[in-house]
Amino acid sequence: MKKNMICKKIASVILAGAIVLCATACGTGAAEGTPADEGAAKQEQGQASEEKEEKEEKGQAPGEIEKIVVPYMLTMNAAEERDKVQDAINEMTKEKLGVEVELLCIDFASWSDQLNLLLTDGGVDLFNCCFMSPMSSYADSGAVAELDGLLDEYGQGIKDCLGDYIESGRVGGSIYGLPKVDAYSNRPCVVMDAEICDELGITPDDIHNFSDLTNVALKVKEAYPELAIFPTGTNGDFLGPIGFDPLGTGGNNIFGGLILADNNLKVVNVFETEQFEEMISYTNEWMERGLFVNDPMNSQDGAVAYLSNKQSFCYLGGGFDPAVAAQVQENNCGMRLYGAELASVNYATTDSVSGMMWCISSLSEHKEAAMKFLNALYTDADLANLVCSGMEGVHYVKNDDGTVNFAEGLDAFTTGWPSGMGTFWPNITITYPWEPNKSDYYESWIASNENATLSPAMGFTFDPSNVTDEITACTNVVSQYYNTIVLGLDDTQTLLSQFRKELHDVGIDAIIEEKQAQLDAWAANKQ
Amino acid sequence: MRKLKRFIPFYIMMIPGLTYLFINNYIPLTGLQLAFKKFKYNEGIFNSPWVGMKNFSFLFKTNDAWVLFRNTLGYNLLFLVINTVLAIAVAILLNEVRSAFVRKMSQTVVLIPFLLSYVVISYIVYALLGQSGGMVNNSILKPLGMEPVSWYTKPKYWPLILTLVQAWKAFGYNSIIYYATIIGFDKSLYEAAAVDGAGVWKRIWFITMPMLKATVITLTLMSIGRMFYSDFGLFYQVPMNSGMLQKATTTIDTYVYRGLMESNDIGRAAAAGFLQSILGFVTVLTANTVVRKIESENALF
Amino acid sequence: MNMKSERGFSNGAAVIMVLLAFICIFPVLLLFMSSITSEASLLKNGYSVFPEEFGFDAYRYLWMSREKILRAYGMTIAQTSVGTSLSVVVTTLLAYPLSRKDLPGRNVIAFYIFFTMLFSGGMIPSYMMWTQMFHIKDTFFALIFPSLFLSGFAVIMMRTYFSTNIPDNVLEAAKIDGASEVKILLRIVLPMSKPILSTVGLMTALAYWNDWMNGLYYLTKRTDLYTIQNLLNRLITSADFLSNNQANSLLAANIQVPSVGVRMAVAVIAILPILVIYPFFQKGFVKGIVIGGVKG
Repeated sequence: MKKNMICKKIASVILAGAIVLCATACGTGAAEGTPADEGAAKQEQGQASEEKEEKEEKGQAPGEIEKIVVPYMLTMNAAEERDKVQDAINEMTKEKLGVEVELLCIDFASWSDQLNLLLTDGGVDLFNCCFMSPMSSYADSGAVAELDGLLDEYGQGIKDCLGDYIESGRVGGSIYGLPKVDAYSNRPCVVMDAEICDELGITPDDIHNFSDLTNVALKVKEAYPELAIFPTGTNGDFLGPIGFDPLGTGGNNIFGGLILADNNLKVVNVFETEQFEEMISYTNEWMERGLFVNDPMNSQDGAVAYLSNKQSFCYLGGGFDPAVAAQVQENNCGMRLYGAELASVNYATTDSVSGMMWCISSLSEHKEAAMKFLNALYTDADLANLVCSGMEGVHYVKNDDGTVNFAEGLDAFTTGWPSGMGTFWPNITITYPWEPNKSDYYESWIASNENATLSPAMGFTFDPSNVTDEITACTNVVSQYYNTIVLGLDDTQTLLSQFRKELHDVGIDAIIEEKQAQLDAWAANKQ
Repeated sequence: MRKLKRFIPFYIMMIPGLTYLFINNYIPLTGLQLAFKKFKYNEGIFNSPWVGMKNFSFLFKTNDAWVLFRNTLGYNLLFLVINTVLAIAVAILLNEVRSAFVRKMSQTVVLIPFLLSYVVISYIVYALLGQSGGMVNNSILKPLGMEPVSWYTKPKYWPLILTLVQAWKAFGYNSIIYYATIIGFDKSLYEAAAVDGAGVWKRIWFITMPMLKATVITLTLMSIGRMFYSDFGLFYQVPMNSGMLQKATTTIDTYVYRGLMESNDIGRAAAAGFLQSILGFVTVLTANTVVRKIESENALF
Repeated sequence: MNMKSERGFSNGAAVIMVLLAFICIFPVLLLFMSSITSEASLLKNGYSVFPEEFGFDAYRYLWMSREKILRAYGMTIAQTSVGTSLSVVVTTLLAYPLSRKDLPGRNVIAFYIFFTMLFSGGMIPSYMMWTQMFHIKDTFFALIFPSLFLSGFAVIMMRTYFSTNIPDNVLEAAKIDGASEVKILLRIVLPMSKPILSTVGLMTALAYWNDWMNGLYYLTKRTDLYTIQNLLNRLITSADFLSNNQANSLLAANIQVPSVGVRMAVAVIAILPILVIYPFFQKGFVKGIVIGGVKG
């Protein structure tokens, strides 16, 4: 009796909550609000699994069809027509491969957060390990599957596509990731406002190194005293011209590596090289002469934004061909651009090859299916066109010369299948190039690979697990000093020696030693 | 026995809340073991291999270990004192304002900073302190004939700047708790005091302050538990990750973030969190014991 | 004399509060002005309350996603109202018994609650539990339950309020009259506790309104359930990330990067509505709780 009363009271309090809810929510979602706590969650779960079953039934109809989840990276545009493209993909893959694909759209910015979580519960099967931690760390923590066996059975096409570059996915003894087909090598370059160049009689041929660039910059500054020459100082592109191989550790972990021009296997501390000193002497000079934008260290906008808003003359970047590096940004900037080289050799290193690696989750229950689908992405031009560019006639139309462009009435913003991320997929080189690229655009990529100079450590990936403490400490030291020194904001010489000393103190030498030991072992093994 | 029966409704009332806390907060505590393990995705939390104390060493293998702990604790203590004083002052002022319009309006508006994320606040701070375009340099120092200051390269200003920024963001939010407590007080006490001829200050000092004591102690004890944590956004985004400020702005959390950003090292991140929690736990237990000795009513538990 | 000085104090307090309010509103003004400043002017001169050149690209850009933004506002309102109402009820039910000094086991339970404020198992264990045990992924409940629903802080605040602001003799008198504990809570304690109810309600509502983590982690497929903060956070972080990586050769052409102005506009549209809703919310909320209690 009394208990009944209590229940009634509790219910009335909940009711009071519901009243407020109705008052403020105008009914939105009110129905879901009333059942309390987890009981309700379970109800919903029931619904969700029903939906799942429905989908699976559809899939299982023609026989043994396995379903895999493949996350797809969204930039600013949402892929509004994901379902359409997904259906088109499945139309191809169900019959040919017995695989059904679910594309999971994930935002660029939350890519790494979400994938790290999805990897804990097998929420994805096949994924591109880009803008995340280095692939080797996922191999180390058992997040990604060994691919050797699967490659032998289902991945012959991939092997043919990649050739020796497949080695960049080897960690320890096994292959864990597959690089996408790409122009693997690059050299540092500068992308400039073509209009100003033409006016002042500057051609890309005038520039081959930092010294030439400084001369050109001063010339531009003289003609346009109000214009800044260089945008932000916070992207580490200044290291480009040094020609440095960080040995497959990627990102900011640049403690110890090879100076490529020396063409040997001696691991050095890049911050103690002549090349580094030479580089900072240039950047300090630029700062002194007012060639940077205001507050280059704290800029909120990317380099490209400055250029496209005519707030800077150029920015530093990289690419397999300076002219192409400029050309791909022309659309974004809405202006003509020239690209000039800052070094003459195209180097390919493990890092330059392994920027985007395709991996299979170790918790995936459909590893074979994932590999079959991956193999098709590398080799099947129809499928590659579909994922890279969308559907013909819907999202793109073919031009007479073999290139493609947006279908009538669409542009980069309104299209339902964003084409900007074509390079995300394993093999864009078998698809139709987009305007304004030429029809032989991707052939030039492949050709550049043949002319590239390989780092002597190409294919070696450093395993950092023995020196992680030192790497953490060094990373913090670099973030304290690096930009200040490069931009010459304080007494560079004093800071530089402090910087070097602190790196020693927190153990950069241990990292270099470890890298050297692993590299030597790798080299001995290779012979 | 009869007495216990009377309490049964109380225990029933508490069931939903206690159950939720068990699910949301206690079950995931199994994850604390990751601080002593190397997390393997394919093995799960329970089967990943133990590594002993190895995950903790990175916090101490730096010249700055002392600076990290000093900054974290120092800022927290400073913030605690300033936030408490400000929040009480604002709450009392709000209570004294007669104009309903001013009271309602300012009550709403002081919450705005709390709604802004530190990313956005970092833009605002930059708008104020930027070297060449900043409003402080352009609109205040210049007209006064003073030299512009390069704020983002001078660590000595940052303890003050960070304190101001965080106080600005938090004071409105903090004061609503005190304000609620004050308006809940028994009004007859004030009326009696007014009849006795006590002025405004006297009433504040002899009635309001003593009655706020319990709230102050509770809030202080609760923030002591988070003494070794720092708001990552405040110390990383607001100074724009500027290297030259690092001595003044680095805390345990920014060190961990910078170091682990690239490596996705779940074990080490768990270790840092575990250490911060344990230290906070010990501190708060000590503080609570002291409070219980002096004022047993106000102890947290 | 006395009255005069009191009025003086009250006026002084009003002046200070207006000043504080100005200090709080000023940045929003700055944000708003930046959001209607042209991109080139922002890059050149930085932010200013008096922009040199106006530009409305930011709002044009957001206008294109207006349907999504409206929908997301709807989700935020649903999330905030459902979450807050449930949460305040559960918080009150937990806090009131704890405020009773004679409750056996009171300290143990208080410690149990306080402990949750100190230790957390981390994101991954929570995620694994909510998705694998409760299958909350891609449901509306993902916006309500993980991490936000009940905070130890609110419980302890409310407990402190009950024990300091509800005089013991009031409770004693009610007991002598033969009122049951539930009746005492609903008829006596709740009506006397409007300030703390609205404060805890407000704190919870702000937490829900500001939340984007739950949507980010638990709504991978159902982006139609995104709240405004999810949407806006997505815009801000993507824009930040893209503009820093645009020169990256891995990213090719045809990617739109919104400007700093867009990020400012986004911040503005994220906070304005709560300023409009807040006064109504505050009024209606307390009334709802108290009326509900009295009627029952």
